[in-house]
Amino acid sequence: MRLTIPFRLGSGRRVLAGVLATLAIQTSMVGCDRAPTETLAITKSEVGRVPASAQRPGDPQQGYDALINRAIVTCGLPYDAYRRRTGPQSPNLDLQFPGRTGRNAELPYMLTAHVAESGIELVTSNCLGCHAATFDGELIMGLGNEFLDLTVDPLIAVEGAGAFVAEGPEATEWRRWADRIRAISDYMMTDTIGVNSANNLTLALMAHRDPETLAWSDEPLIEPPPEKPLPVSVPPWWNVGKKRAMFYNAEGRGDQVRYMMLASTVCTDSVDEAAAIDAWFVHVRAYLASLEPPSYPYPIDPDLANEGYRVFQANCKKCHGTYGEDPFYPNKLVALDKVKTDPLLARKGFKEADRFLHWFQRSFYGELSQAAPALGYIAPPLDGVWATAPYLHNGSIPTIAALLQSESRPTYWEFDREGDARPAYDRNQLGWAYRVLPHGKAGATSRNERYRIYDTTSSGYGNQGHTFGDDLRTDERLALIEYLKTL
Amino acid sequence: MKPWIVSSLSVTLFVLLWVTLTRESGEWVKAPNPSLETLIDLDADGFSPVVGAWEPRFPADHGAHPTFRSELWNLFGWLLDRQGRSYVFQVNLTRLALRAEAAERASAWATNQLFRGHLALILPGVASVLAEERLNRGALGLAGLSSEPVRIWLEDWSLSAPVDSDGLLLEIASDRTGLSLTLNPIKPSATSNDLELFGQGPGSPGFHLYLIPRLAVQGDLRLDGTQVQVQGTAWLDHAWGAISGAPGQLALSRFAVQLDDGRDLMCLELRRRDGSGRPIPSCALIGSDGRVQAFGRREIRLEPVDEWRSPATGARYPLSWRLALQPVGLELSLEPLLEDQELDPALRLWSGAVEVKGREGEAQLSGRGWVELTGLTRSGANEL
Ligand code: HEC
Ligand code: HEC
Repeated sequence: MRLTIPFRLGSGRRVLAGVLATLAIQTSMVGCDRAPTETLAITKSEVGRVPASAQRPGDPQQGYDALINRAIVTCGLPYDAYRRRTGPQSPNLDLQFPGRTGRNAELPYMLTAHVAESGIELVTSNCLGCHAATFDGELIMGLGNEFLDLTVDPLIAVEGAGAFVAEGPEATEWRRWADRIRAISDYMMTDTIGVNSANNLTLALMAHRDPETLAWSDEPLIEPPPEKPLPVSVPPWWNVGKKRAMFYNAEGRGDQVRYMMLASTVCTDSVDEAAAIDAWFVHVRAYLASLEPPSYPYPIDPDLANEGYRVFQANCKKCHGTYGEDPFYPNKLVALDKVKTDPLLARKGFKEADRFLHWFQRSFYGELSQAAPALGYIAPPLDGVWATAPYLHNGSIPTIAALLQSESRPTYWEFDREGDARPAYDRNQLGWAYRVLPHGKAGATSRNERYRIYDTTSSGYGNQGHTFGDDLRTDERLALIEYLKTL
Repeated sequence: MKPWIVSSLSVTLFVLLWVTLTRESGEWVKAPNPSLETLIDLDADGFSPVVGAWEPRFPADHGAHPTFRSELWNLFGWLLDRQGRSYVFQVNLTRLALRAEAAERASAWATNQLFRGHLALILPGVASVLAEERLNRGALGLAGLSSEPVRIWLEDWSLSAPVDSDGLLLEIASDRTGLSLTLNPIKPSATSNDLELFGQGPGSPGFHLYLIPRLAVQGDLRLDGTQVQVQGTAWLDHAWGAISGAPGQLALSRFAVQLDDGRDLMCLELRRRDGSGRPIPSCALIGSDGRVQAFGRREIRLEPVDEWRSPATGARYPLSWRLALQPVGLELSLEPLLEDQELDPALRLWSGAVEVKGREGEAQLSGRGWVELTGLTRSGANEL
């Protein structure tokens, strides 16, 4: 048997039908990102109140169905190869979202089946590898996955999958997927398990596409982002309905649907394909905007929580808003010099991303939106915040207790767990159990150990700032924590 | 995902010989055996599963693991006689269980196995490889295995682990030549977990694998009736489990290097069989104390600089290599001792000895090594 496939086709525009890629199994890798403004001129935002912008209407029910059953990433591993590798039974099928139909019912929730134009059935990654996670064994839609291991080289997984791929059209689909992953894999590997690289990954994808035609180019067309991603934590989806702008630096202004779709650009190679996805993605956005946070699953002391409510109103409300009966969320973008958390993500987005802002505004994705980064971070809604540890945009602080008392924040820490098991949930501090370490990554003796250490002395990983809880008395802090459980 | 990777990669490597058994059984039919397809129960369940945390125990693990489907031993060695002339050998032993049998029936394990042995020897002043092969079914009483003492044998070939030492004994006899060698580990064994090749952390790859990158060798070599005393070093690989023969779209090359300064290096390079894409290298540098330092694809440069076309098969093999581990400034060149070390023409498999030279910063380095790779056909695609 032999087979010769020319690898690089000059222009990079491939005629293949619509497979897009991401990798399968635990490392999903699509991204979400940041984008720019209005005309071809790019816009930067001021801090302060984020203005409202109209969203296209959609049907949440239809959106849910599409989210769990339709492929947004249209390249992936041929289904037969997937089966050869997993055997007849997929792993982790006990965790599943209701309503998955057909082939999807037999795939883990973070994978979606898709039939490519070649007729080959593919297994593709979806949003839920990053945007769904378990809490105490229960799968929660929209909860950011803070345990994803993006230190693993995705290219090895994707190329290694070739061991299970048969000759012919199956191999062609696999190669297309693998070639795409190759182009972006260097931009998505983090050096800490749990932190996410979706932002960087999306920028890398932009660099490989013509903004006007969306055609893929094997060679980057603009300077790609730096290889080393800045760490980000995955924000929960149930805040989408309250937030007027997407992303930590609130740069995602205007229509939100296409920002979300940027995650799918791995193999979306034409404006027609993007428009076809856009047509059903308005429903997905409507579904996300309808999501409610989960309820705290353990007992809450109502009197203590009541006291905490007062502490919150006095100290936190002006940025984070009010909750309960008549909620109000101020959509407040707080300047870096006020919040003083690690500035790198905001600074880079503000100063070093203009080429991507231009790309976005010129593309289909920016038609209805204006990406407008600011030198600050949005004070997020705190609904369900007890579930979203670790905290801050870079996930640098393991618990709410530590967030509210800056001298107790660990400089070096890791989750307290065996292997890949989930750590226990700490109901007093609100967060996953962690161990404080005497040394950072430099003191690690193995690669595995190094990847597990969250080292707040690394650039972009800082845990400083947001000291708004420091002046509280111990009893006030306890009460405040109790109150946060009610959100 | 981790186990997936290992099983798809490392397997491919160690399995090259297996492919003969499970896929290209046509080659085997030439041997004095009935067609393998009629013998092997390919869908057999009932073999021992390969489960997680595992540490090798010696001498027991040097021996056969007949409750697992398949097993491989590779020994590479570089020997010198008193006059300083070098002899290079490679011994590959493979075992395949034809079907699973109840574990208690020890006798059944012996009769139910297929064994293959292959010897390749490069003698001083001889510009070709001397090769020998043995192929037997346990059932015919011509090959077998035992656990007390630890031993596997095919006719007059055997590998055993004496009870009172942590070493191995290799005995090979044939019409023209013979080897009688004791091999004693100079370094601890390393498992696939220890090597972290391709970023593998703990996880079950679907088979067990350990290697001993450096053993001290002592013994005799017989050649056409004369006997020479030899000593030198060897490298051992041993793997067992559900080693499947189909590498799909992949091909793997393997580089094993023993540096004279006491360090050893193992690299794998994953490629697409059709030659597209860029190969992905991964290396583990094993210090003289056995400590492993792993290198990922972005830290390694591994490039062929020359190619050889086999007159026998027409396959093209990249044979001279440059290898650099950038974080430690190590640069090596690997030159084949002989071009024609095509081990298995049917498989387009080149497996042979290389001389190693290089430097690390200012320091000069030298050593020896073994490279295994599959060839490319004329169209540019790897053929398997
Ligand atoms: C590789 C992981 C990953 C995947 C896959 C992914 N996202 Fe995201 N998503 C992120 C991260 C990380 C952020 C935060 C980025 C930031 O704010 O800078 C984010 C942000 C978002 C936000 C903004 C939330 C907020 O509060 O600002 C939305 C909405 C979103 N993603 C939707 C989606 C959808 C829909 C998909 C599937 C099409 C998807 N994401 C796929 C990681 C991912
Ligand atoms: C001056 C405005 C401001 C005040 C006052 C403030 N915060 Fe924040 N808060 C922010 C900003 C901005 C962020 C996001 C910072 C970042 O991610 O780097 C944030 C983040 C948080 C987070 C992390 C959310 C997550 O999911 O990562 C929590 C929890 C939080 N604040 C709680 C509080 C509490 C409790 C108080 C009152 C003691 C408070 N904040 C007071 C602006 C404020």
